[in-house]
Amino acid sequence: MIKLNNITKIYDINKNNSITAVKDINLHIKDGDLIILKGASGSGKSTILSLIAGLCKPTEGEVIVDEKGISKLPDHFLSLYRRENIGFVFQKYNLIPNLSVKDNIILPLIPDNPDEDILNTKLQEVMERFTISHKKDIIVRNLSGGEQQRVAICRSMINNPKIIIADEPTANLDEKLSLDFIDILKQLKENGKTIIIATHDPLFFNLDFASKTIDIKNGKIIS
Amino acid sequence: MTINKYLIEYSINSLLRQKSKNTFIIIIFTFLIALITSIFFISNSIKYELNSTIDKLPDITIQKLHGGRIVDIDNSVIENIITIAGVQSTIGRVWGYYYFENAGVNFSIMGIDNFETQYTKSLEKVIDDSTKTDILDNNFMLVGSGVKKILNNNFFTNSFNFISNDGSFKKVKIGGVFKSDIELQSNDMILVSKELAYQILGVDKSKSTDIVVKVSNPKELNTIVNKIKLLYPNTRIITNDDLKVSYESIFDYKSGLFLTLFIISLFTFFIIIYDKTSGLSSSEKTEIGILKALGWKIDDILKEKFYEGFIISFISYILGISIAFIFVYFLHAPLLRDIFEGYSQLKTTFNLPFVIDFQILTLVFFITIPVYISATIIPSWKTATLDADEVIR
Amino acid sequence: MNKKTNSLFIFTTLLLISLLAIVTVLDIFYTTNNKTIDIKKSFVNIVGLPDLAISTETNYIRHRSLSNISTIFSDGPEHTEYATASFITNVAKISHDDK
Repeated sequence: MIKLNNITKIYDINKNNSITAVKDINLHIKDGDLIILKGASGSGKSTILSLIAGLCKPTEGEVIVDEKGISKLPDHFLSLYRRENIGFVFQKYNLIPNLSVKDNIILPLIPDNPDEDILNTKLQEVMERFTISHKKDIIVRNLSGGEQQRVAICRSMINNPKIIIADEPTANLDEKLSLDFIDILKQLKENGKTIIIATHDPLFFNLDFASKTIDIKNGKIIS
Repeated sequence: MTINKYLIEYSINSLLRQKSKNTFIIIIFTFLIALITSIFFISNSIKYELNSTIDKLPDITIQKLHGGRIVDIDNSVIENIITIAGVQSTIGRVWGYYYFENAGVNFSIMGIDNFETQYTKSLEKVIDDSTKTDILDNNFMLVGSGVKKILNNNFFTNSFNFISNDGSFKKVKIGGVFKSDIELQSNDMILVSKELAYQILGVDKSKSTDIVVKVSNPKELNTIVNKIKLLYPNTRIITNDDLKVSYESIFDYKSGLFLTLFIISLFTFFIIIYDKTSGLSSSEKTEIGILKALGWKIDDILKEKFYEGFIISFISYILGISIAFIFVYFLHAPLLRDIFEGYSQLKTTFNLPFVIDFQILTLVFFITIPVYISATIIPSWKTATLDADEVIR
Repeated sequence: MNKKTNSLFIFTTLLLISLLAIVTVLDIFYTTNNKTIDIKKSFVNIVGLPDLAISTETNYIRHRSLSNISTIFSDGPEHTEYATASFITNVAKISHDDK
C-alpha cells in the first residue's frame, strides 16, 4: 500500500527561480493496482514517481509505503528500500551505454555480492522472459530502441520488486513496440505487481486492466 | 570482509571506458614514481657505500687555514699534538690534486709513509693481480682504473711523466691498478711514496698538507679536539663524526637536484589531481545518479571509486619501482648518473651496491597512492550525497 | 562473469612476482659481499681520504667532506659556482669550523 499525504515538492527552494512541481498531493495506491498518471509535460507526474521511488524527498508531507514512512529515511536505508522494492524504468532508459546487456541488467544486484550461481539463474530467467538473452553480450548502445527498453525492463525486474514504476515508457517507441510493452504490463499485473505509469501516450488511456487513471495538471490532481 | 568481485568488475569496465585517458595517467604516474624512486635509490646506495667504510677514516683531521684558504701545516704541530693525553698517533699527510692537462682531468695524489713495506703488508690486497709489475725501487705508483684508462688513452702505458713543482719531469712507473671492487673509492687516485708526493705536489719538506690523529678512547674525542683548537686556533678540525654528518647530509632536501625534481614531480602530480577533483563530467554524474536510483548506497559508489583509484595507482607504483630497480642497478642509471657526475672527465661505471630500503618504498607509496585515491573519491562523494533525482535530471 | 576481475588479479600477481624476482636477483648478485667490504675497508684505512670518486669536477666536490662553503669561494669572493655536481650535493657541515 502506497500513501502520499499532503505532498508538496519545490525544486531549488532557496533560489530565485524555484519551481513548485507538485502541491498538496494526496494519493492512495493499493497492492496490485495499475495506476496511470496522465498529464502534459511539466505537469508533475515524473515528480510523483520519483517521490514514490525515493529518488527525492518531499518539501512537505510524507510518503508511506507498507506502513513505513520513507521520506525521512537516511540515505543508507532509502537505497536499500529502492533496491528491494522498486523497479524503475526511466524515460530515457538510463542504461550504461558502454556496458553489455547482462552487465547492465545485474547492476541492482552488485552491492549485495550474490553467489555467482544465484546471480546467473536470476539473470537467465529475466532475460528469457523478456526475450533478450540472445543479445546478452552486446553493448547496449548498439541495440535498437525497443531492445534497450527490454534491457531497462529486465534491469528493473531482476530483484523481483513489488512496485514497478515507468516514466513515459513508450515515448521512444513505435506503435507495435508500444503495444508489446502494454502486453508485458498485463503479465506483470497478473503476477501481482503494483504498477505506476506516467504517460501522455493515448494508448494507455483506455486500458481495461488499469485500476485507475489520474489526471495531473500544474502539480495538482484533477481527477 | 569479502571482496565484491562484481564491484571490481564494474570498476575495471569504468576504467576501460576511458582507455586512452587512463593509460596516459598510468604512464605519467609510473614515470614519476620511477624517477623519484631512482633518485632515492641512487643517493641511498651512495650513502651506503660511504657508510660501509667510515669507521676506517681518521678520528681527527687538522687543516691549517690562512685567509680562508687551506695552506700546508708545519710538521712541528705533529710533535705538539702527540703530547696531548689520549692521542694514540699523529701523522702528517701529503696529498693533493694533479691536473693532467692533455686529458683535462684532475687526479688525487696521496703520499704513503713506508710505501714499500705498506705495499707488501696491506696494499697488495687491493691491487688487481693481473696488473702487478715488478717493483725495484720506491719510484712507482698505484693507480685507480680511471687513471689507468686516461693514461692509456694518452699513450702512457707503463709509466707517467709528472711535471714537478720546479718544472722538471718526473717519470714514475705504474706498479699496479686497484681492483674494480673499489672503483668508487679509487677511480681517480694515485698512491705514491711520501717523498715522491713531496716532489710532485711541491710541498715543503718541513710541512704537511694536513695532519690526522688517532685517539685511544673515542669518548675523549671532543676534549682532545678542544685542546687542539686552543693550541692552534687557526686550524680547521674535522672529526669522524663530522664526516658522518657530512655523509648523511650529502643529498638532503635543500640540495638542488632533489628540490628541482621533487617540485616538478609534485607539480605534475597535482595537475593530475586537480583535473580529477575539479569535478565530474555530466555523464559521470548521471552514472552515479543512475546507480543510486538502482539502489546503490553512497558506500557502494565510493567503494567502486576506491577500486578505480587503487587499480591505477597500485599498478603504476609496482611498475614504477620495478623500472627504478632495473634502471639504477642493472642499467647503472644512464641519464641520471650524468647529473651526479657533473662535468667530470673521469667517470666511474656507477656500479652502485644494491640496498633495499623499505622506508623509501613506503614513503613513495604514501605520497602517491592515497592522494590519487582521494582525488578519485572526493568528487564522486560530492555527487553521491545528492538526491538521485537531482543528479539524473 | 567477472572475467576481467580475474584477469586483473592474474596480471597484478604477475607484476608482483616480477618485482620479487628483480629484487631477488639484485639481492643475490648485486649486494656487496663481505670480501668486497673488506677490500674497501683496507683501502680506506690506508688512504684515509673520505668521499667517493663519483665526481672529480672540482676539489670541493671530490673531497667534499674536507671542505666547506669557504673553500668554494677561496679563489675569490666573486667566484660563482660552475660545477654542476654541486647542484646535487650539499656543502659539508663541519662542527668545529669558524663560521
